Amino acid sequence: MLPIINLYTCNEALDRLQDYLDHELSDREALLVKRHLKICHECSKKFAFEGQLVSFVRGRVQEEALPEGLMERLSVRLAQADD
Amino acid sequence: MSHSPPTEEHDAAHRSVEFKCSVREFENLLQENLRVAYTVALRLCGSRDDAEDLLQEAAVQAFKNFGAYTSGTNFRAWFLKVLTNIFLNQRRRKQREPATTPIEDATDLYMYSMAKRAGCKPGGGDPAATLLERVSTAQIAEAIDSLPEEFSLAAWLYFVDELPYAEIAEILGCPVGTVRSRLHRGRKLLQKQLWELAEPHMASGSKARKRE
Ligand SMILES: [Zn+2]
Repeated sequence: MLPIINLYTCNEALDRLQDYLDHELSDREALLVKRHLKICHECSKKFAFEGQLVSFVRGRVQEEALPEGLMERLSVRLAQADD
Repeated sequence: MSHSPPTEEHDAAHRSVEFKCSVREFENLLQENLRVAYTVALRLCGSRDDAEDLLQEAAVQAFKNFGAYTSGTNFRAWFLKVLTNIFLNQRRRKQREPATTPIEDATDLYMYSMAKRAGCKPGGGDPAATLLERVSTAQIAEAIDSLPEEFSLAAWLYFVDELPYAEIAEILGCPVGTVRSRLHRGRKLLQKQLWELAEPHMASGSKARKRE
């Protein structure tokens, strides 16, 4: 019996780039992508770049501090909402 | 055995105890999700004052409808849906049209390919951060805002927290597949904008690094 060889081509892996980075692939597909990245330097550079890009934008977008006393002001408003 | 008939005072007292309990439960849930809710509000509104107003209104409206929230289900998604809807209604009332600048489609891996073509090797270290370090957060926010509304909304929810697609779909009231394709297309459009912001800094950036 022939062993079942499960390997993605570059295109198959790249088609799943976004879902892979966002943890939206099935376990099986994620595993196949991971296998491809182990053997393909080009794709792993691309995946790393895209992942870093998202992390970078997230970091920037999330860096704002919460205004002081925000929860307290919300509580005051909610207490008034009884009327 | 006789029950004294409930008086109006009793009723009022009972209601007031119930009210205090539900306020406390609501506030606890809100507190747990305050950072993400505020950040979404800030990114949608663009200013801290408007963000707080939006958050206040969302809190009041969500609290009034708290009966419709099923305990133990995803409060974050439920609350963000209220907040997002208020924002969209306000914007429509003000008739401030969302960005409609037509943006040409970009190819997959746009920034990666452009950076490579421009001679920078997006291989080692953190090339994405290196490319974008000189681009301000305000510029990045502007780039996201300038995407067509359906893309920018999904993008904000995506970048502000690591919400799963299913949750973004719940908030926006659309199928998961729609979220997936909006994020996919939005990501490409955004990369094009970001590249335009990053490119002018590239030459000076690499020189500066060489001097270091
Ligand atoms: Zn490959």
